[in-house]
Amino acid sequence: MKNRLRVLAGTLVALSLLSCASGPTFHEMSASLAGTESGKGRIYFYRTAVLGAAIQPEVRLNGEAVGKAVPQGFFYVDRPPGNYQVSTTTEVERDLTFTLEEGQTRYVRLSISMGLFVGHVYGELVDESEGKSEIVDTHFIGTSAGEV
Amino acid sequence: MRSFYSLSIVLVALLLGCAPAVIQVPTSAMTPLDGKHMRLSEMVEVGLSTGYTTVLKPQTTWHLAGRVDQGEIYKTRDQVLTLEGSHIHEAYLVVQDGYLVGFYLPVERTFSPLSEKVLLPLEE
Repeated sequence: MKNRLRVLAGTLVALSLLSCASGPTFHEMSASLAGTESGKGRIYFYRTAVLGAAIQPEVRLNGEAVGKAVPQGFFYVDRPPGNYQVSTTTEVERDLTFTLEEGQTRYVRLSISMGLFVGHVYGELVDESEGKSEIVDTHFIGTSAGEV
Repeated sequence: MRSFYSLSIVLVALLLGCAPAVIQVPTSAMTPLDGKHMRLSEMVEVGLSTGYTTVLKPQTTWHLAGRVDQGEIYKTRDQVLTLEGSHIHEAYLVVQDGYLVGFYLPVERTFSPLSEKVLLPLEE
């Protein structure tokens, strides 16, 4: 019985690790990251939590798919100044709304909350200092828009 | 007792995945203004009707951005300010005679009132 539990625990850990992002870290990429496009602002999306690793919903910005909420992963988009809404394709919709100004950088942490049956992933707007320190060890996963 | 009640609301809401929505009421169009600022001397913790709280950090400087019927609107780059409920909204302060009376939601262009106004601790 003990051995079975160990195998099960090992399998769960392995699956969790396989579900995580594996590209270069933000720290490794930071020197080569392109600057924000002229006339636009930048939005970084990142997920540090490994909890609920199997839940990796699509992330939408004003209804447009821009990436996935991969554990320990990050991606970014440059967008014109304006109003933005972040949503994910989990069963419970919890949207985030915020403004973006020209030249501004925003950090959206993709957090997970546990529901009765499954976890829900949602965006939280965080302070720049907090975002900068949390994103450092996450891995680049690209975006569905193909931006690198 | 009150914090226990608030925490219970948040926990139950999280488990059910259905926190109450942030209260929003229509307001007048924001008249842009500038030229004034205020600096908080202490942290201010503001309880919301959703059961969540939002925190104004100490030593943050808030700049006048405009006015609506309910008061003057102040925003800052020193911290992110959001209101949490069933959704999460970026917010600015709405201040009248030194009291925080609610929040302006810049994306929704609505006013979110507080049940009790809060005196802001300002640096001289």
